[in-house]
Amino acid sequence: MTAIFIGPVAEKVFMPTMTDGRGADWIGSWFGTGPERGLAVMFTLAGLVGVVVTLVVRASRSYRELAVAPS
Amino acid sequence: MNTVMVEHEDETSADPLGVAPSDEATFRQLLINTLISGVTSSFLWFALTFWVYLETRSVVATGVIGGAFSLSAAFIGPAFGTFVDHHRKHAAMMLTTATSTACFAAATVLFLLVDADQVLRMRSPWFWLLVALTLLGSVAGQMRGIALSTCVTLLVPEDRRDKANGLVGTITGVSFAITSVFSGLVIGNLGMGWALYLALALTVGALVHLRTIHIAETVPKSADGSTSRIDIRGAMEAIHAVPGLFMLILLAAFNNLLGGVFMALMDAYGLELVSVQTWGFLWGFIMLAFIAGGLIVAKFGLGSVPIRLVVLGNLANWIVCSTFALRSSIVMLTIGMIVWLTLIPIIEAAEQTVLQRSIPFERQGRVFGFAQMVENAPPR
Repeated sequence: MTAIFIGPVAEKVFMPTMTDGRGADWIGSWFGTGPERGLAVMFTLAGLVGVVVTLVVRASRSYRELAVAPS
Repeated sequence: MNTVMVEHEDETSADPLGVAPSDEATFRQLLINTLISGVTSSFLWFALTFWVYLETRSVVATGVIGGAFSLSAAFIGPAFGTFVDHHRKHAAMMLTTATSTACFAAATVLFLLVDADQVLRMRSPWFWLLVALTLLGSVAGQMRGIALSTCVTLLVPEDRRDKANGLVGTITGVSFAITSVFSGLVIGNLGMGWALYLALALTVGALVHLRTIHIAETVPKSADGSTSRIDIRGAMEAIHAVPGLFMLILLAAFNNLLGGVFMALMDAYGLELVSVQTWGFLWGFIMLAFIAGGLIVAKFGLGSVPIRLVVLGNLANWIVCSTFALRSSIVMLTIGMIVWLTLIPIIEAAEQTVLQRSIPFERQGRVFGFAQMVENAPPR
């Protein structure tokens, strides 16, 4: 399901901006430029969102409740 | 005929897989049977998708039938989960396999009787009938997982369920590997007709084999008074009765959603770095990591607090996801994917183990069905 929505976002937004758009001007010097770097930005951002969400869950009461009650 | 003793409490675990001998035999038979029916369903579905794409060259057609599969699996999950709770698990498994057999048989007959030119036009009702039959048969095969998860609870003593869930992950990995190798090969070299005959023969084999398996179980009495055929409320009640559990399911759903980004873009990214041939070969190799992850759990278990592994595993995976693409490197990509795919079956086995521990057996079918709907785990 995600695939249907994410493909166009990659093609229309991330790949062009990292090729010769604002993204390339901003971080291109160290992240690299080109269409595949647009995809790379998406992986990196998705990963960072995932890290943040997982850390929030880890600090949550729900997690502690599940972790202490192994019954 | 495997006649299974009901008592298994005092059996000591001399066997390497850590499942008590009496029920272990039954469980292992069910695993083999689920492997056959899982391979068959996903094989035929992939073959159909390839075939439709090769014959029509329409991305819209393949996109629509791919979406239809995910949606059907999401909607049928809770209904089948409810059925699993209200019937014997063996009967539930027979239902899925019989449905697959009937659908694949009807699809084969249709394929033999109707001209291929007519089947391959998207306007033609025959096209949609063939897709619908294959889809229903394949989704039925996929539903097996819900029944198998409850069978882990039924047949495996609590302290060894983590390892049994590892084995379930292993067979999932094996079916992925077999499917990705053979569906392309069969369509490329033999054609759709042979794909159908092969799938039909395998489901009939799975049906006959399943009939010989005996699970020691009684007919569930519907004590909770639910009469609904799709009992989502019953699943929600059971989930809310365990503090924190709803969060676990939400987390799994979120991870699948975000993981979808990862998987959807991976082919495009990989093909920017290496040739198609190298990429195909590399994937075959990387998929072994999934099998390895399942085997690690089957061997070592998950420790006493599996929820900790769920969170740590996800944390590791997202760190991998945020770092592997910092440089356009096929080596970093390969290492990242190997870590990712090793951890997925470990995380999934840990989630299953938590659910099997905390949800009463009588409601597990509904909860697994509900989880399937929310998570909507896509087959690659």
